[in-house]
Amino acid sequence: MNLQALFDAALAMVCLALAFDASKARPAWRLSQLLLAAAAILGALRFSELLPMPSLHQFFSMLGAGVGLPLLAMAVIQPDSAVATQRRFAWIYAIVAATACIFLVMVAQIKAWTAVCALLSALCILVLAVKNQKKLTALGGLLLLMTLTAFALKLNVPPLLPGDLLHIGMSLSLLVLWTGSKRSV
Amino acid sequence: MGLILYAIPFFLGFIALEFFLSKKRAVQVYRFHDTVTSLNIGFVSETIRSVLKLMSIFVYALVVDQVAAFEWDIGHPAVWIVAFFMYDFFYYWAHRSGHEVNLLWASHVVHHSSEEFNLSTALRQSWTNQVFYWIFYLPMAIVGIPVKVFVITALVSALYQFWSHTRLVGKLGWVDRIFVTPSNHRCHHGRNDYCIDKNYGGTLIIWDRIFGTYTEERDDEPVVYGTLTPLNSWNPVWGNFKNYTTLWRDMRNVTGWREKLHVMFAPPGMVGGKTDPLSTAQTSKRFETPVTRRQMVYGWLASGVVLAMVIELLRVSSHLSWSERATFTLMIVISTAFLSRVFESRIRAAKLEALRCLLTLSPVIAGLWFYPVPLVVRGIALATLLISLTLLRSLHQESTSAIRSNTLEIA
Repeated sequence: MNLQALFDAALAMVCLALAFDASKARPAWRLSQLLLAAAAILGALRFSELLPMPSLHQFFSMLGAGVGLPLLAMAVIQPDSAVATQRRFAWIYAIVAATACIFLVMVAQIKAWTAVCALLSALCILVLAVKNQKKLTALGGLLLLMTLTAFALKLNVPPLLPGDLLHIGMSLSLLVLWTGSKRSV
Repeated sequence: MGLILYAIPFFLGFIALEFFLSKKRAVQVYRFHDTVTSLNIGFVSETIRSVLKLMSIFVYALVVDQVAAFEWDIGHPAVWIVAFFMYDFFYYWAHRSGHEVNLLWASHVVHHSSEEFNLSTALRQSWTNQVFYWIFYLPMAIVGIPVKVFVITALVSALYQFWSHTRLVGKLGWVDRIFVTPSNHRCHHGRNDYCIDKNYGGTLIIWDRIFGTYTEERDDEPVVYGTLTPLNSWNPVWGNFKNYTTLWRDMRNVTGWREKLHVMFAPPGMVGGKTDPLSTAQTSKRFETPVTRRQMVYGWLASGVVLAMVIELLRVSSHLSWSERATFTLMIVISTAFLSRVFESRIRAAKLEALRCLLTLSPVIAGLWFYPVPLVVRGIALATLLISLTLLRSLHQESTSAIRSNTLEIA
């Protein structure tokens, strides 16, 4: 198994663990983690060459960035909102965001949309956590923002590729965000 | 497009058959105004949906092309079976969302606005639902179900659903527990308390049984058809857009974008924390306006013209520009709206309808239509115009004398 597959698998495990750890009262958390996990599992299968489905991996990565991360941001920033606490509204949010993603990225070919969604989500988490003096959440937001910026700039630290850094950074930032949000609850 | 053209006589034939069978059994299943309204809504929906369907199929094909997880062999029966189950499952959720999300209910409500339940109700389809519902089927594209299989499955499902809109078929025993049948679809269209938000299935009712939305038709409580907030109009345009205006008003009544979004996606009747009162299905009266023989003759004639225009539009649409298509469609929409004013005996309705006839038929008669029209068609248009004007004149006199006698009675 190569490094890419390994880090994708690690991210998938983190996301799945967080999805199962989240109570039923936090459907947005669950849904966002499941979306990110789906992308990571497909990545692990792709890079380990067990079941390579590159187009499906790309598609779910797009949904992870364009739907999963904004949903995560809602769950972290507004933990009492309807989207964060009610399964119905979490699903509606996900469906509307997924439709926007498909239209803008696949039909209108605005490829930057997912990167913008992901970066804005991380930025919102950071800014609002600082404003509300939630240190751990702010740290998680900062880590996520740095990770996504590094990926957008295609930075690499040999032997790690930009994708590997993304998966390591995401795993860490998700764990920090989860700890932060658990404490605030 | 061709398929719709073939389907229209099939649907109309079955409606006629149901009408005659109901007469034979001495059961009143059809009411004139309601039937004409259902048919006109259905005719217009075919023209609008034919365009929107193409757009949704385009997006579906794009997703299949770029994402498809697997390649499926169309020749293998398993592919069709999987596609059928997937389509029906996603139909259930699309339909359920259509009832339980305000924005989608605003679109779907027109199908439920009829206070009758017959085969013409099946044609009373929303003009705007294609804008939303294609989204629910995208998982099929992601899995890689080919476009051809998807389109045919959708068509078979739509054809199946047609027959479930009848009161002439009773309970069917075990079939009622597996498939969507007239009995359990009658409940779906009911406004009795036990019928609200039940039986969403398209072909299989098993999804309702799995997700807890199944109900059986009760022998001790006859189903009363329609919605909790009745449309009370024969106007197809109002029928299609009334709930959007209500939604808009409700959104304006709350402050803050989050509240406005909440109103848009909340369940119908639960805006601002208030819920609809319990159904008054058993006691409330159906919407009714007086119908005269002349009105019936004119109604069928005008609806025939609308149908002819729809068939013609579907036939030639690929040769028309988008603006010509839009104008043609708008003429059909306006025709149905003006006809409904005659049905509702509105003031000056007959005069306005006469003007509408002149403006619609004159270009055909004068040979100034979007494309050259054969002489025979121009002759038929002239005859139709003359008959229409004569009938409208007598309808105008009829309504004027009715108003006069009412005034005298009051005096």
